[in-house]
Amino acid sequence: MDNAKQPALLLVYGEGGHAEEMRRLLAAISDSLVSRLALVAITEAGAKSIDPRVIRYNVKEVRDKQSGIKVVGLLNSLMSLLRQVVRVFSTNDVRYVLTTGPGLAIPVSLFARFRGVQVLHVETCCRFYSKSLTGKFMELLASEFWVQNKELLDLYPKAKYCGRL
Amino acid sequence: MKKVLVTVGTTPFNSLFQALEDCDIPEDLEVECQIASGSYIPKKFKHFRFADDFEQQLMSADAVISHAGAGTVFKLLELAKPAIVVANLERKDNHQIELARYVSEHGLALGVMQLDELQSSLNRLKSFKPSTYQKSSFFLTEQLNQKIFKACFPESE
Repeated sequence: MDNAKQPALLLVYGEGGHAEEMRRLLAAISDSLVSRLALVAITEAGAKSIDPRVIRYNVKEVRDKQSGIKVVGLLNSLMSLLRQVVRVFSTNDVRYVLTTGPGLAIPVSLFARFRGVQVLHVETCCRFYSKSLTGKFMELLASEFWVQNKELLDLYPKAKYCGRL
Repeated sequence: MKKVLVTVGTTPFNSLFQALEDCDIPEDLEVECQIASGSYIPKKFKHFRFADDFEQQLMSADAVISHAGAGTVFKLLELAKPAIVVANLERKDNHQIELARYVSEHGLALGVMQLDELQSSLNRLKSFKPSTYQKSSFFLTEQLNQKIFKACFPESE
């Protein structure tokens, strides 16, 4: 596979449920389409493998679930993320981005949109009554914003309901 | 004896086990705890950290007390397992409250948003019959494929 020439689909996802949701989203893409694409992922280092065909570019977790955001850690994580984003876009012909969060989707999507690449974000299935931090940004950044819970349509008027992955 | 499995997924939830040990557990319930990497070791109940056959453990339990993690909770709903779903507020993000509230409001499980509600949920667990969970599966497959195809192969249009 020559990633420099083959159109690339960039997957952006974090650990845990975000990785599982991306795995299921990827499974919804037809095999015939996937076989024509380079699959590239920017993901948290601790995220499980979702598909052996995916070439991973790992980044540090931006926000620790137990201790939250620490400024120095956040800056380091963002620098690591920026390096990977530049590497991914310079090495691959990224044509479309899929994201399932969490926060690393924001800077990646900002870069992608700046480069004229469309982004489809699927919001987490864990939210019903309030916007996630990622959701607040992604509803503005993403070309398409899909929600898995109907309750979120009241909060994100421009979103599409897609059912649960 | 009815087997009750307590599970917290991969994230520690020490306060759940501490609260559980302070509760009056009905005598005919046998409690077993999956504690992940938590530092609190239950004194009154059998425990383990992780299990290779976790799916089997879920299936064989008569009831489950679970953290409000989406993966486990939706699995329990699909199995129609009587369950208490407890929001893990030890995490910095408290979005688990939303899932606990959702299952509670829809009669799908007994939701515990604060640990002082645990005892009353335990008292109700034996007689609790969950509502049928109707999963609305992902249905925008065609749109997803079309958008990717159109973006990746614009020359095909």
